[in-house]
Amino acid sequence: MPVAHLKEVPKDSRIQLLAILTVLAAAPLWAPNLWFVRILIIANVFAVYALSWNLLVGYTGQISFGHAFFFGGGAYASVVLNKYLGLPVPLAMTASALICGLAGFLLGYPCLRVRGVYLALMTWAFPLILIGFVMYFGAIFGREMGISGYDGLSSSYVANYYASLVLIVSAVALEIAIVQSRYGLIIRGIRDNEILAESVGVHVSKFKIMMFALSGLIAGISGAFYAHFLKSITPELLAVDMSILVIIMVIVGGLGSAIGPVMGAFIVTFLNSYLLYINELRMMIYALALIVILFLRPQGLLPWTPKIGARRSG
Amino acid sequence: MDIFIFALTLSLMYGLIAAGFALILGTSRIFDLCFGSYYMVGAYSYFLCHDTVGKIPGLFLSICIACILAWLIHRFILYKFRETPIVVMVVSTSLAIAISEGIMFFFGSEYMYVPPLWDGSLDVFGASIAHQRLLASVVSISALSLLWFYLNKTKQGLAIRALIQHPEVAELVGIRPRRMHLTVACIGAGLAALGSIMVVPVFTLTPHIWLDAILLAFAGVVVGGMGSVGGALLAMVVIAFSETLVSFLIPEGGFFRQAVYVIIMVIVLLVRPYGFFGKKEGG
Repeated sequence: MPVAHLKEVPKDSRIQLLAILTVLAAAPLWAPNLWFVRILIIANVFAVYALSWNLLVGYTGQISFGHAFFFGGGAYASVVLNKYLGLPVPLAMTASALICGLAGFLLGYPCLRVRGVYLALMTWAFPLILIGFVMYFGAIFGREMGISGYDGLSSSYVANYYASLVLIVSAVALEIAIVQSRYGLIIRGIRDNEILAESVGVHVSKFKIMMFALSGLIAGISGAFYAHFLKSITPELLAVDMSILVIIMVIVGGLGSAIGPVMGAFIVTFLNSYLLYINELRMMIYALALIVILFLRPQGLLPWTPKIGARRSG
Repeated sequence: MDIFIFALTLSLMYGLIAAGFALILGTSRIFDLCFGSYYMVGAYSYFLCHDTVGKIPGLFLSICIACILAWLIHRFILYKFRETPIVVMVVSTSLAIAISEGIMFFFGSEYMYVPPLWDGSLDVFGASIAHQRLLASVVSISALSLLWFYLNKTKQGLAIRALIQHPEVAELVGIRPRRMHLTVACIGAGLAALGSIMVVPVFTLTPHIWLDAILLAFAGVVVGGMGSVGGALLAMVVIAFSETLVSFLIPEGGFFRQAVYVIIMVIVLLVRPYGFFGKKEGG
């Protein structure tokens, strides 16, 4: 897996981060129209989602093929809390993030028993259980139609934009803080050599579960934000496409850094919006692009990511 | 009795699909998630051509189309990534989604009805069984016995079994891994297409059925164990019986079909991570 081949973690340079932040913070000033701001908001949300996947896969090395479980789960949890229990939006979003964190914590346990391809299979399957429930309890979840008619975020696009900016900045900051702390060293140790990490006294299971929970929490809050921004959700948020989309974003941008997933999310979201007219063939373009990228530049599209080391088999 | 016969025919139909996938996976260690696409492409090409060329030629034609698709995908894409299973999964999943979107583009996403090969129904022990199910069972049994014969009595089958057991040694004694691998991919895809043409008239045809097929295939591999065709068949019996039970016992339980597969899979992964017939290994 590409995860294991990164010999060193690409350092996120502060200058790059700062430059990106400045450009993004001034976005409402240079954005040509509101439609563009809207795309930027969605890109921010997806960037947070991609960061959550990256935290689990890029740093900890635990592959997840079912991150839509957390994204869609967060969206549904927040919407249900808001619509049926009348919680205000910020509270519902926080609660749903916590629920997703808890779900990540619980799902982490069975995931400890399997690794590699079997872990991928297992995580691949989780969202499907959720889809089953959404379809079965149609009275609450609305089946294929989804749910609408709940509270949105604020009515001003600019305010929403800054809210999403706060979200993405805190996600990036959290990720960098974790990676540069002692924990970052530990989880990267688990990624690179689990047995070695265990032999020097790292409680591997504890850290894996922690990362599952944290990743679930971040993905959950991005899902909740997405739901309240778009004001209607459908089971498509839980579909396989959603899980694969995040993988494509991160691979396009580059695994195992903070900038990579963010840039990947922006690239994919903008492509998404401009390819709106050929909606049906979008995924085909992505799939082909993904294959080309994996053939030619498996470390991601960004120019400064280091080359990937020699391939290990298995 | 209804439940029993339904589940029995269902498990035979599913057996085709699971055996195909288990064969590909066992021989080449490639988690080919496009497998669901071969299944779906087979069904759609049958849907397209059963009117113009007739049912039986249409059957063979669509099996050929699925085989060619599998050959192309394996030869030019998946075989290159075979060293890194996770990359194979990412690539093949996105390809599968791409194919399903392509089909949605040309056919639309509404449900389609595919006429059965053999109309009518039959009373067996008080249960009414559609002829298609009966036919599917017969076809499935004969295809699987052919497969058994091929694997156990021919030289190529010996080579395939050697590759399953020990890839390096097999290569040393002069078996060409890529050629065998492509052969097996074609056989697997052919089984999938055959299975889909048997199953689809009983259910419906949508661009989403690849998910069902791939889940079945997963469940077969997980429950039966990596590379064990027999195990995959037995797993399908378990799956078919629990699926039929759930849809008979829970009203509108059809929504839980996929969830049933998944739950069985997860339980087995927890209890016996290498399946019931698989070799123990650090997979």
